[in-house]
Amino acid sequence: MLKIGLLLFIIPVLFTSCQMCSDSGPDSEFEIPDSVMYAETLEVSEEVMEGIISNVSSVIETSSFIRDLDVPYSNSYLATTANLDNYNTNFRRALMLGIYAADLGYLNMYNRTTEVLDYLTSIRRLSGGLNVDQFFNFSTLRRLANSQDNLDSLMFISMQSFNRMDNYLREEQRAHLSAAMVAGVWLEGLYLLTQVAQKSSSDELFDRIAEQKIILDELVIIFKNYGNVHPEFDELYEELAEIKQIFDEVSITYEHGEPEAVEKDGKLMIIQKERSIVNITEEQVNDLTETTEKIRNKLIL
Amino acid sequence: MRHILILLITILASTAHSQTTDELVEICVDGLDDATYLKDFQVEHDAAQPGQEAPVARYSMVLKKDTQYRLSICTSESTSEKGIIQLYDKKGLVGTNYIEESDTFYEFFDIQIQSTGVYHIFISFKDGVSGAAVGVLSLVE
Repeated sequence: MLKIGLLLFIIPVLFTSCQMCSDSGPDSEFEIPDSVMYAETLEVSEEVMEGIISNVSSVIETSSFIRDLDVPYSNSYLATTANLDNYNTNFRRALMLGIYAADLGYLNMYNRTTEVLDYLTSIRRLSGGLNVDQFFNFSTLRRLANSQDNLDSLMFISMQSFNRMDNYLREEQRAHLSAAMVAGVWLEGLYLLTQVAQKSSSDELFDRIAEQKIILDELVIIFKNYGNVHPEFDELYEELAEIKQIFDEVSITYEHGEPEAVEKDGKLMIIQKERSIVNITEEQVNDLTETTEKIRNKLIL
Repeated sequence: MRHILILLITILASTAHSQTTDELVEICVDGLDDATYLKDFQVEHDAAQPGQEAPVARYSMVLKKDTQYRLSICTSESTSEKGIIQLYDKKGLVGTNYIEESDTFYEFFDIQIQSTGVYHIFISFKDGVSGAAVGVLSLVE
């Protein structure tokens, strides 16, 4: 009796486990796991890299910032979903997942539920190609996208799914794919900001663009290191070096100060007194717009 | 048979743990009010050994200028002390939900970031007790 009970338990567990390792990508059937292929040592430890790249959630911050500028929605900013078949390496899939994550955040902020469905379908295919689609409950996401009342839930579940996938990739020693995804998020975020700046410029927007210099400085360290074992990162590094060259002329200074804590109505609020002050010209923003557009459009082909 | 039983117990134990932390994420997210979820940090610590520092989980994030963030923490009911969530920059502590002088815990703290950069989120338990907690980073609209 106990044996039968155990079998009844083991079969569904094994079935679930097999779902986790199923191949959903068209050309991933006989791929060697990345963790096996690239078992060489990186110059910077995985731990340090993991810390730096844990930033997929910035899609919400960038989209929320753009929406608050009262800039009208434009679908011309979004990456096409028509070239999915071209993204046939894990690196490209991960990079495009990041780009689509940024676009999904933008669509969510503007309540564009019809377009959200198209992007969710593309995200499903790409994540399937990376064998990480188990973190997305696509039927729930579709149901939420079809209901205007559940936009907060849609945003929460889609962000949580991306975060879980990101954590899983790093735990499974596929952190380079997580880094590629973050690169996509960052590049599309910069693309959106610079495109918006061409239609509606403001000091606030210029500041936000200039601050991308700080993040890019962190990212290039990662890409340079991964380039030692993953040649695709070298190519991306070369592309981003062109953007970095423009950012190198942008100055950022700091005013120092100690943080202050204030309690109001039982809630604790911290006010940071250190300030970063950026200095960027319109010409530099135009250069960044042109260069970012060129690189991003090449990557999404 | 004994090995299978041990395997099953291990699977069941890990499933039970994951449900608990998932529930904690939901509790924390439900309490966000006007804030938008960005990321959660699920933590489980063993008790600190006598004479040793309390175990700390560390995460790095890029936070952006002119943005208000909320750092919340939800501790599992089975943990004897509350969780502590702290934010550091490269120079030191910027914010915390625990004020040591008055031994006061807050469920969350808000912070208005004025300097874009890499920040570090630390999660630990008072007195280094063992336990589970979830930290949530969110964006205050």
